[in-house]
Amino acid sequence: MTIRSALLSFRIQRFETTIVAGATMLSVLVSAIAIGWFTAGGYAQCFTSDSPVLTTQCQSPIASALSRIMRLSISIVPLFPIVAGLLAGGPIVARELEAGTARLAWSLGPSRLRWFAQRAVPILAMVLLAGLAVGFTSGALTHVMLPTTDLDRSFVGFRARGLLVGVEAILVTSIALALGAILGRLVPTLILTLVLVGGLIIAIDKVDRTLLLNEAVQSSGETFSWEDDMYLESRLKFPNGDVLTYEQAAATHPEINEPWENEPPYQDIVLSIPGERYHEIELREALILGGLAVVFLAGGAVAVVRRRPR
Amino acid sequence: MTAVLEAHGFGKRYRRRTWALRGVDLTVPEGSITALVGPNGSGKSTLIRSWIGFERATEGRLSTGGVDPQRDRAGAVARVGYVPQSPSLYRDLRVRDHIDLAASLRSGFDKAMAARYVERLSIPLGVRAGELSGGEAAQVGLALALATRAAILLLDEPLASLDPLARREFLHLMVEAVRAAGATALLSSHVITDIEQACDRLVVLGKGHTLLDLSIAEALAHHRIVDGQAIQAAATGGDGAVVGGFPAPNGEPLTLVRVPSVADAEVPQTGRPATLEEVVIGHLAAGRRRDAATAAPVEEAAA
Repeated sequence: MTIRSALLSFRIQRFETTIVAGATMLSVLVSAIAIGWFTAGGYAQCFTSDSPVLTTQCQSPIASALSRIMRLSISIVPLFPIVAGLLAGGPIVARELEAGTARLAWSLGPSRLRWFAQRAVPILAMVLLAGLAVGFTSGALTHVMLPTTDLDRSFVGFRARGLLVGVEAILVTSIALALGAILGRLVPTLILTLVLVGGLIIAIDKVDRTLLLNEAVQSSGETFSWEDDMYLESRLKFPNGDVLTYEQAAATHPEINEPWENEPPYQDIVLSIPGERYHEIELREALILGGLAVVFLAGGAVAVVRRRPR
Repeated sequence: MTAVLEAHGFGKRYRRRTWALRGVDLTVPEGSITALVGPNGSGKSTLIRSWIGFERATEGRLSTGGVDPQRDRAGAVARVGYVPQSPSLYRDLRVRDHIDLAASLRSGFDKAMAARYVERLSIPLGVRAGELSGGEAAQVGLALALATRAAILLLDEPLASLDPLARREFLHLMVEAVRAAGATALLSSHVITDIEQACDRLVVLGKGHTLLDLSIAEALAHHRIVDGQAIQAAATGGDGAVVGGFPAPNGEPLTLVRVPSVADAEVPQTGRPATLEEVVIGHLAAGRRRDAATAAPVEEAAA
């Protein structure tokens, strides 16, 4: 694959490339301006305390607008991988099959895998770079908003900052690409990808939670940090060592529903993942999502090799 | 003569119901420009697409330049330049980009040759494909196929959307390039006059099977047209076999007769020499009647 063929791949998807790259650049630029203004203008001090800082500067419309812009930027980050993945991945094969251009390319080149790589790799690289740019910008924004939090040891904004945004974008792109190769039509591909991504998000969350519960530590109200640790579940811990959910406890220890005198007969605990494990958990999740993306890409490649063009 | 395209008992059925082609036995000799003619739905495109490996045979076997396109599709594609009916170019890419794209996909693709052909057809290399007319797009498709320097050229009704002048330019370029390279071409088309000028061989495909397969010179030499009154004499007079009847444009009934040779002075001749169009129409009409006759008893039995 040459630079020229990569550029051609972008030009074939000129519209989607422009949207994804443009949105990324706009997001990074606006965030950089907001962060620069925030830091240089001395607005950072407004967020160093837990309670609102009542200085004129912190109460000014500019501080409020900057804060709103940054919060909005952070809040739309989870949508980026889905939108970028759909836009970039859906048309790679589906539109080529629909428009008949795949037939031209497949009649010119004996190796469909070579065509597939030429088309997919530049787009995947662009989506990954865009996702990483948005993810790390989101991390920088989060850092400005929470200057006292060590983001390397905190689950604040987990999956919506850093490496995972890029990997999520790659996964959605791969799903759209694979479904496009199977269905051969763009609109059904986009719809089905949305449905599948929705289902996958729920499934991954469920599996992830189950895995993490096995590794969770028990924290009391004093040791658990909402700012740093990843909250999983609340449990009740009894003097005999039982750690139960409220429903389990109500069934086995009916006395918890009766009025007690000084102290409750159990201790409220939180099952959580300590913030120190942030990068380890992030990397593990990135590898799992990346592995899934590879599976979908392989599925797409098989569909391309086996299917007949229109 | 070596055959570069072969079909032996080839059949293709879609969705387990409809046979597009069945029992096709056909060979295309090396160095020939063969016309593939047949009505809509006769399976011309299916046959061509099967030779390039885009369709899988349901029965029988195919050979493309000595390789089985089902077992070695890459090998078949590497031996073929393909021009489809509607050459779907990338709308946002310039003609020059298509040449670069083709070069990146196929080793041995001759970029200079493609550019030369395109420029010869007065198509600017910098124009976007979306701005090309149907005829220009077809010509770009042909230039790309020719520049693959493939030994076999498969053209699936590329003339369908072209005006007469564009058709002429297209055929001129194709014939010149194929002859110069010593390649083999198979051209599927409905336009008989063009075929007569460009091709040296004719294959008529009926509803899923071969009706006629011989050189154009032979097709013209061995067919005559007789009018309605002479048909009885033609059929019984021993100078030929009736192929089939069909109406002339003015409604007059005509009959195509196959004779040993119109040039053979020893053979008593009836009627006049047939045109290539009449040869094709006569065989198609005969094929249709045969199909109807075969289908009728089946339908009766089913009823």
